[in-house]
Amino acid sequence: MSETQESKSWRKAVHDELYERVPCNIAVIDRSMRIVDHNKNFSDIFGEGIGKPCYTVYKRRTSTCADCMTLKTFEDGEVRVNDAEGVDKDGRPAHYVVHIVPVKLPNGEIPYVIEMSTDVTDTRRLQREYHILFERVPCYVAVLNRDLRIVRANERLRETFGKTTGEHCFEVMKKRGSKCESCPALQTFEDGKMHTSEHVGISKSGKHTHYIVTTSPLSKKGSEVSHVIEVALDISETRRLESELEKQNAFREVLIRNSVDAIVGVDTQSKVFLFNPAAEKMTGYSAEEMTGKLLPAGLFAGEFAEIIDGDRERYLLHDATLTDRDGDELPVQFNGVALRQNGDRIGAAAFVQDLRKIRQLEKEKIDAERLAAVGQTVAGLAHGIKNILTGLEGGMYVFRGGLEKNDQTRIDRGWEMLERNIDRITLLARSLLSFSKGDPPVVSTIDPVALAREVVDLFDDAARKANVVLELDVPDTIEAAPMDREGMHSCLANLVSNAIDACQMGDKPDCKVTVRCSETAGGGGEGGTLLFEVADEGCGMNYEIKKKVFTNFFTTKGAVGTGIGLLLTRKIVQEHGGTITFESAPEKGTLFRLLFRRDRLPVPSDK
Amino acid sequence: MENAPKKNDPKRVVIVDDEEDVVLYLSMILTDHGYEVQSANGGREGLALIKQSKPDLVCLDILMPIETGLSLFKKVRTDPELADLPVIIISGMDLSEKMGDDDEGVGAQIRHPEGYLEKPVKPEQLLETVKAVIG
Repeated sequence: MSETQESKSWRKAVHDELYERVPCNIAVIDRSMRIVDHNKNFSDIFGEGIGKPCYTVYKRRTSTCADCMTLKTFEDGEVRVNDAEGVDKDGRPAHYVVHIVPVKLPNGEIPYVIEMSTDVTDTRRLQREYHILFERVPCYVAVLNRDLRIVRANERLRETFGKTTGEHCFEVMKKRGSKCESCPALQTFEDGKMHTSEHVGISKSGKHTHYIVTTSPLSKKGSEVSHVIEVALDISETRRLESELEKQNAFREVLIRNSVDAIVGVDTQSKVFLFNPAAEKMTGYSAEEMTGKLLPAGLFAGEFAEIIDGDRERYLLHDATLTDRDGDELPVQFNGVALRQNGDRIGAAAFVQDLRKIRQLEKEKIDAERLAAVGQTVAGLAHGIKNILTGLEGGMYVFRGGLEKNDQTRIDRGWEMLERNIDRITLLARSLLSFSKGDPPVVSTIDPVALAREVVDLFDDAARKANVVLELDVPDTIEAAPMDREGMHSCLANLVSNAIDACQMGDKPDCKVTVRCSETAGGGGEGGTLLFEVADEGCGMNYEIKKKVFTNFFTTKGAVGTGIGLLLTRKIVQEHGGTITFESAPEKGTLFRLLFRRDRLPVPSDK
Repeated sequence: MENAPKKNDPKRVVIVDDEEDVVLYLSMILTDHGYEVQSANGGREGLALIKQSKPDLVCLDILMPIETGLSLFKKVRTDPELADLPVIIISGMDLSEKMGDDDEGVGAQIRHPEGYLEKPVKPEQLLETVKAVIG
């Protein structure tokens, strides 16, 4: 049936329209690879191309492409579909799928090839983006089929759980041989809805891995869900931190509940939110009645209010008073600190240490030390008295011998001996009384530097006469300290006097005695330590003498000393909560050190 | 022994004590009874005097500054020239505890003093002890 002219014309019009309007780039290529025709879509993407080689237009090349599919179609007349990349007229990469179709003449010759390309640049970009998203998302992502086998898994899942594709998800993620009891993927396969649940898996290194998994239907075959995508968020670190936090909370709770110190927390309105058992015991109030209530006025030192009000960050009071429910006052050490959250003030905490037992023990210790010192003194006293008795015995012997022989010189010597030893025993008795009377120290605030200077001035003359160089080594100022002025003066004077004597007993010419006073910083929020030192370059002490320095009624000064000076010095130092130590080496000298921790110094007597 | 006294020479005694009154008293008792006495006021001077005068007897106090009597006693006992020298210790201390072999005692291997006297000393006690040791 031959076609009419009219129908031919109609068909051509349709073909022309189709050629231009089809959503596809069409180019006709001749055997020399030149474009002989193309539609408008083609020129919109690649620019005008008629007469130009296809590789120049598509790819900006100067020669044919390796593996050119068009050339192959010219050779074998096959239709080809090919993925290709080129460059559009603006120089941007272009991805397209090209159908290569030969135009065959009846004699089998192929003078032209038609290339119909569809631009898939946007699709490819999206594919790439989705791929990156799939692989790199910080979750485990897997696509499962209805057998619960993993069709695809992302990088993170593969790295954490090992071999994945083709395996059952329960084998991979839980190292188990059968389905899990509550499987969200199965539920999604069943009802086509999203499901979320928390699971614990086992990684390829055997570590427990906590994750929250959400399953969603991915594709359907008929009415059935054929694939499910599961996205799991690893919460192992969160669970670890939660468990750590729980442990810490439990530990803190035990600390607070079992602390022997009272611990009280209040908010910025002074309302109590924490009142531990020690606080209940110390104050007489119960946690139940205190929680949520205002802190009773006067319970704690007034300084605590300053912290709650935001005027102070911290207060450490070594000597504070707590007034309990019955109005009784307890000696306490009070430590108040501001509580902050992210820098914002949220209240204050008080840590209160009951000092009653410590005070009692300190008092008992001082009493015991005093008793021991008195005991040792009494024991040593016998020794001192024996020496004096020998002197008296000697005086009598010499005196009597003088009388018998009528020797006046001998009588006089004997008499002098008697007098001298009676004086010694009188001095001894007086010193002993002063040691044992136990008057409490009279404490006032004194300047330690001025005190050291006074003592050095006092001995200036005596030192010069003894050819001793007496030096004062002190800083310009030291913070005043509550001390018994007279007692401390006696201590330093006694040490300086001993040091000058030690110089005289030694051989060193221009022997030096140095009096120092200094302050060392305290640690851990405590006050500093006040230090007095008396150093000499005198005769020093050997082991035997060193051992007796504080433990006996001991003197190396023959008839000149009573042996009570250092005992008295130690007693005064101890009454100030201080310690006395010394270092000494024969013929090198002696260094006495008096250390007073400021937080142990007595309270001034007028307070 | 070239320094040994002749038969009728008085016996020589060195007294080492830091208390002058004690030195004077002991010296007088001994000189009153025919002994020749030299004295020193401390351990160091005492050792020099003993070495120089090689006496027949040393009377030694224990508690003395710088060098104690015990230290001097150990030096005398361990010096080959002086090791045989008789020593009487005269002290206000209880002496028995000092003769142990701890770090401050005399030591077990050292021959103990020939006599102990506790202060105050009566003249007859001193004479009796000295006589018992050196005649």
